[in-house]
Amino acid sequence: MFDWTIIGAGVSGSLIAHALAKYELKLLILEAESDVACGATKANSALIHAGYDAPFDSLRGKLNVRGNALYGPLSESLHFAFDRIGSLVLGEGDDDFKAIERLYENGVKLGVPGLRIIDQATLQKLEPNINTAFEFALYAPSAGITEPWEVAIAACEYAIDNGTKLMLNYPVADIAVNEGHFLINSEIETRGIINCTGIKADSIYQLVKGDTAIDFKIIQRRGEYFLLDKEARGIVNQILFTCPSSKGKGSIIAPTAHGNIIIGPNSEVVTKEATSTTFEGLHEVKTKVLNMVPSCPLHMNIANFSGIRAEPSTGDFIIEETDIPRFINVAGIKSPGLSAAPAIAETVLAIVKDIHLRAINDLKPKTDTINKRRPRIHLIHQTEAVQAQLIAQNPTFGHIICRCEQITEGEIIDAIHRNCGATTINGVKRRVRPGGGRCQGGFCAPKVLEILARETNRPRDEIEQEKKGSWLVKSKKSF
Amino acid sequence: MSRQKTVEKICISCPVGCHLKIEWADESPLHYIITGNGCKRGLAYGENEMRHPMRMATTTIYVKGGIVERLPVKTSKPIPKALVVPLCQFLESMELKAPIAIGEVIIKNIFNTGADVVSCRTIHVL
Amino acid sequence: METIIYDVVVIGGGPAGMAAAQKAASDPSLRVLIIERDHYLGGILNQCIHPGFGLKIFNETLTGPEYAERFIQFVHEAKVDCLLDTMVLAINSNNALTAINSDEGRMTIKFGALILAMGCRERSRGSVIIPGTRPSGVFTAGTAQFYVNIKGDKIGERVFVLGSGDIGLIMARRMTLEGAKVLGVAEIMPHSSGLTRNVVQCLEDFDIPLYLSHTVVAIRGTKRLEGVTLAKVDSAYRPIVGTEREIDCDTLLLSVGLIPENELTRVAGIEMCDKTKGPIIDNRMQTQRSGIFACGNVAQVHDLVDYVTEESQIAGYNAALFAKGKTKSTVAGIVVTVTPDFSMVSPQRLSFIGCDGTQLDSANIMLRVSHPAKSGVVVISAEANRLVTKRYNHLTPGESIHLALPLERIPATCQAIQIRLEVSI
Repeated sequence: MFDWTIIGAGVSGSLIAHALAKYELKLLILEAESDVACGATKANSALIHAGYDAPFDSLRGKLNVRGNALYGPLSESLHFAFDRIGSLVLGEGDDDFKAIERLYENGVKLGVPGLRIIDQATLQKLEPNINTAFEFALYAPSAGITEPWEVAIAACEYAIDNGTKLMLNYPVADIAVNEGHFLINSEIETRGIINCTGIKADSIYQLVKGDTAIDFKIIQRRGEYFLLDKEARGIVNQILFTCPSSKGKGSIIAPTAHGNIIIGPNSEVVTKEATSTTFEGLHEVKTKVLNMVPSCPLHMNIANFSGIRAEPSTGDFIIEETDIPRFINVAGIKSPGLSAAPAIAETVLAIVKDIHLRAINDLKPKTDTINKRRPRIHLIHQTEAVQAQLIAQNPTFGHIICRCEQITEGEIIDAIHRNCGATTINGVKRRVRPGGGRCQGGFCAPKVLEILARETNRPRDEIEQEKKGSWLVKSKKSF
Repeated sequence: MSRQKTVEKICISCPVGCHLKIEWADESPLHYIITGNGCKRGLAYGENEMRHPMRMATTTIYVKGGIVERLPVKTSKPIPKALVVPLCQFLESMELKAPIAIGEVIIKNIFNTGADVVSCRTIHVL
Repeated sequence: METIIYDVVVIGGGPAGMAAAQKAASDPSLRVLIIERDHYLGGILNQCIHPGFGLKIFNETLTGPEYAERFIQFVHEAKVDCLLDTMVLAINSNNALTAINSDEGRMTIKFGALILAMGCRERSRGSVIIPGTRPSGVFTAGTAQFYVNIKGDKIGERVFVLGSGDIGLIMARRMTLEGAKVLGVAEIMPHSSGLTRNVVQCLEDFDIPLYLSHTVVAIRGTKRLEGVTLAKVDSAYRPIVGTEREIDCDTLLLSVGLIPENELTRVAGIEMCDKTKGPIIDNRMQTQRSGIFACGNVAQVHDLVDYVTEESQIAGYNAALFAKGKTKSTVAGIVVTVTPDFSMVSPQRLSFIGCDGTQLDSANIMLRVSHPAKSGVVVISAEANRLVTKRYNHLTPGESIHLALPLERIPATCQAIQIRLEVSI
């Protein structure tokens, strides 16, 4: 019997696991996909918003600001990239100025640090490549960029290091509500459930509500992106937004934590889990970004992708224990979901503590927590002495597999064997970069496939790109 | 009355790449009427392609115990075009053992064509 | 950290690197090193198992591996040292580079002269922006060729190819011989970009349809590829609405262009040519950094390995002279420009003087036309003076032009030469 089962290993579920793993609890994470962070968590703008955007009296507004503040220490203990490069909301004309003033006031009420409105001269100096029509901007120094999937991977790894169990490729099909516990898929008993299933949050909730209607619906909003080669670096220095206006929300252009440039998203309601990019969607993004940065080098595009945000019909985050005891919904976590995630985990921890208090058995902190997640080794970034030592101890650290990002075999092997390790080609890419660089796996994918097969003791035919069923090759001979 | 058949082919005798039109009647003996050729070579090419098209075949064969797992091979001279796919299928079931020298004859006189299957690479033992 | 010293160092052990190394090592007083990231020499030739290599150099038509093995022999005979499974991390400013491998760890390698021969990489899906899902089963043609020819994998059963360059055509045939059904090759231009011989022997032979003026506009499939959408394009290469058709397939091969692999070159600050995507080079194959030479696909994409060998031998020869300290003049002053009739020219600079201070007779000029032409005259001029005029028939972007420019025809004070194409209507 598990104490708590978190369904959904996106950034919300993972950070909740990270928070709960510090306590004496038998924890389980169930993830339908082949890896953690395979929903919206891996396909978003990778921004940690300063927090002035959501209304000051909303849950998401408060949690964004709190989450932003938590990212600093979190990135250090979990060892993921986080860089406060600052953001600018660009505006021109009176309507934009009014909108920016509103954002400013809202941000001040929420306690967003360092917000100020800057003039054209300052703006042009900060961002020489933007459209000269922009006259002013809202500058937020606390906004930052991160590697969103790594937040989830690191959090899950930490949780598993501290005793949490993770089951991948495990979709939840039914949940029976029994006395004092739930039964998932007729085989997993758990006292409590935390529903962090993104675009499926309403369907999963419906499973426990049976015939009774639930009080929210998840609307799927798809956003499409361009990712530019590192050569485009320097085209912008901060995260750039256009003013939310009657014309709708603009796209962003920003540096990424890996040195690329990300552009997008647009916003389109979809009815299926259609994570495809479209000609029209990409064209819309392209038009918007060229308006912001006329010289944007879109010919340096290396990849396009789309992500689906879970928009709640209620308009705000839904983070609460439902009328079904010990069933907690964490639903409608659209933007600023990534930014708010550490604060969402705090909120859920508080709910869990309350539930335990009610039930008389208090939540006891573990005494033997493994405190920090072991840092990843990026050999090329180490000092020469450390590099020499690593290679001497383990020669696979001297064998470069990913030429574009200079990643060694040793790092790939480590990414596979850690807790919450990579089992797919894209899983390796997310953890240590091969395939994410300029050649998009042209050179390294065959090598990564070979290493995965060898290290996980599986034949080549069973190594997959991402989802279960996404086979790459079939070998003619089994060795 | 015998039926008229046509086929189009690009001549590769020289870089011009004339578009040949080849017609024939379904009768014996087969007689080909070739048009579109820019020179005599086109006629010869067309005739050859219709009567006995020949091709070099290249593929790989599985190798055990070598530094690589596949040995690239070729036919020592062109073989009838119709035998190329059967040859590749036939070689798929073969297993060789390293070391193998470049030029080594893997199969002599394949399918009685007079062509050998020869190794294109030296494969050292792992 | 270990430091090793060589007179001539070559980055890359493919056809370019091997020919350059062999030539440099023909001076037995020089120590020559090839640094190769793979487990064996040969480069991309190892996976090019089809014939067509060596007609000019050996007067034979060899397969890629056979051509490679000739040079592997030459390199061993010339006593060139090789560091295999070794990656160069950076070219430093003081005539040294940093490399890494499992045995030695990091190494500093000092060189008298350096030859860049890193080859090229393939353009991926992102550079042509195909909307749709991101299933497995979408490969660049060269990567697919690696899986099939080096690993012996079956990569799919129903294949579609985007791009009619030679790699796409060769793989269309290869996949057919491996038992797959190749449903077609789409080419966005109104003409194939590969050799006619390949269109015939790779497509016609197997009744594989060639869809000219077509492109893939969508990819579908959630796990593995399930199909692509093919559409006709207009004269501006935009898809024509209403011409879309669905093709069910589990494999898409992308043959959409090659890019010289110059990350090391760029980071080292060596000046690049925007047209070739390689470093700016002169007729001695020297870059704008004296003592650093470039040859093969890293300098500009080639279609025939024989020309790679020729220019690499020039690079090796001059690198050896430089290393030996015989350089009298290192700056190549004359700028070579082309009209938009050509997509590139190599070299982009000319020098009258070789790396040993002697006068050079002629320079090899390589050109690629931007559009096909039934016939045209290539005119090389120095301002008003016509230096060379040569008529060519059947000009096509897929087949590069190579001609010799006699250097004595260039006036001594000349700063630039211009190359244009005169096409008679």
